[in-house]
Amino acid sequence: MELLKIDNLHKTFRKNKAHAVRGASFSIFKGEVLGLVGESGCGKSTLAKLILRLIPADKGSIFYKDRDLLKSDHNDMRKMRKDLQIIFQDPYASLDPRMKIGDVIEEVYDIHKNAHGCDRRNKAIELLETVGLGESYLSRLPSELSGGERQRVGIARALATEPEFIICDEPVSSLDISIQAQILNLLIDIQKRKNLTYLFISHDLGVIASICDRVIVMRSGEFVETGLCENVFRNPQHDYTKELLRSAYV
Amino acid sequence: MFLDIRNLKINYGKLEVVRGVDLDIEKGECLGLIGESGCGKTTVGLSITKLIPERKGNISSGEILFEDTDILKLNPEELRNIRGRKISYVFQEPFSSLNPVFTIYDQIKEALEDKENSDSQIAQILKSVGLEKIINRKNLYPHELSGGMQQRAMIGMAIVSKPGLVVLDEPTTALDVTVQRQILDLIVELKNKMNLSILFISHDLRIVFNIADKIAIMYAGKIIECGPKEKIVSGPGHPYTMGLIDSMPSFEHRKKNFNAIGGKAPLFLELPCGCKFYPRCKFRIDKCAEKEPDLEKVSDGHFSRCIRTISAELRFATPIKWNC
Repeated sequence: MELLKIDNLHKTFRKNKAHAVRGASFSIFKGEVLGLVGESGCGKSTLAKLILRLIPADKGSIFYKDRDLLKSDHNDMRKMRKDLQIIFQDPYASLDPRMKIGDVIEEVYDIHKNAHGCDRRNKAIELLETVGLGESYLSRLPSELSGGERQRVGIARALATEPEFIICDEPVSSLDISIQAQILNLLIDIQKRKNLTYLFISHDLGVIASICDRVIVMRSGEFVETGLCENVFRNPQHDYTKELLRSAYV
Repeated sequence: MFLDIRNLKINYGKLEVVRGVDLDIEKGECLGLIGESGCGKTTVGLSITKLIPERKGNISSGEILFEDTDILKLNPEELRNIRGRKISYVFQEPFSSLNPVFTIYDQIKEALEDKENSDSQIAQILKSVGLEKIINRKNLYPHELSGGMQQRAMIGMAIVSKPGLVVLDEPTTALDVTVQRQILDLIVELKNKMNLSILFISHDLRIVFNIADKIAIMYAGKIIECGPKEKIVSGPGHPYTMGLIDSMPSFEHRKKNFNAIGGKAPLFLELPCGCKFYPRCKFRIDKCAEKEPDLEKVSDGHFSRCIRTISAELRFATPIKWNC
């Protein structure tokens, strides 16, 4: 089933000078992990933000289950965002340094009003346990946590609204290799258990190869190759994909 | 032996963060030093020319023999002759290593010992690091270059004085894959051309496996395994090394769970007694917690700090399951 359908999406910055996304069209199917790979500055994160309408698009359409996100008003978007979540790259920048971990997660319930009273605390504890942290983390501050633990909090926060679709924007690139493996295990585990759909953004071909079903290769705002992971990695067609694969130690 | 570090111990205040490290590098050899962040690998790299500020840390014991002289016994004058001349550095973030208010040209010129014919010397250096494009642009500032070009300029500065040893501290971590590969190719090319010895510090095994001749793996301030690359890749001796290799994402790993190492690296404040990897180890037995094992020989040139590697039990042991 098609969960998201993106058609001819455009975005320019600096008064049309920098064309960051040039006509992106693709679909994401329910329950799949779609990889998006490319060098820094190729427009991966811009595309992610466009899909969630964190920044306005210039042209195009984004259909989420037959509803055009770009034509939805503020209230509709607010409801939609329950289903569409994002995990950011830098776990040091994406958590408010003055908020306790418990509050970080409970704030989601304040916004989306999907849990009340002491139910919120119980749900927060449950979430922390899902991501491998415990109740003892509720009253800690982000500064007391390591990078891996912070990223786990980021994942818990994204799961708090019980979304169907999560954009993982380079969730493991700032982590050590052993911690990276733990977080990837966790993400895959949750994806399988809850039948989630991921758009997984990374510049690391190894990470993409190990967890994605399909992959999109992006360069300077354009898609140069898409296909099943097996096909793209075993038999790349575009020169740029070949160059990427040659450069990476996959 | 070109560089020989023996029983190096470094304290930051009361904390001992390098707890007895032995490393050796031959002429023209590349040693890869691997470890998680905070294991002390950068500290080891800096200590080679005593670059750790004295108010921060002090080297409490050990020897660093470079061409048979002990660097730790040199006076500041003699150290200056070694720093940047015989041993040079390339750090992780090229942009923060370059001075933003001076041109690239001036910064390379500063590194030159003999300022005569500086133009032609600089042109030659820029050419050897693949920056032919900017040879005639004397007024180019660091911010006008891309990350990859900045790192090339840094490497250029490091090789100006034809050093014997270059310490590369995560030189490609901040760069994109394609650029990363180009920089690594450049390093290998220069190493072969100039017969450089290299200490390559990184947390990325994939890179180290490709460019190093010898590998040392560091954990909580000590080397826990070292040996020739081939031996470590094909038959890692220490459970930590096995865990690291299993954590590498790759196509072969597809859709399988990573055999990840559980837990996180210990803090120096609260190191466990006995083997420091004991709390995270999948192959632990009670004996491991009693005494920290010594680095013992597995085969020629291959050493491991694990009592179970030595007795060859690991191959038959069943790992403990982690929930992570």
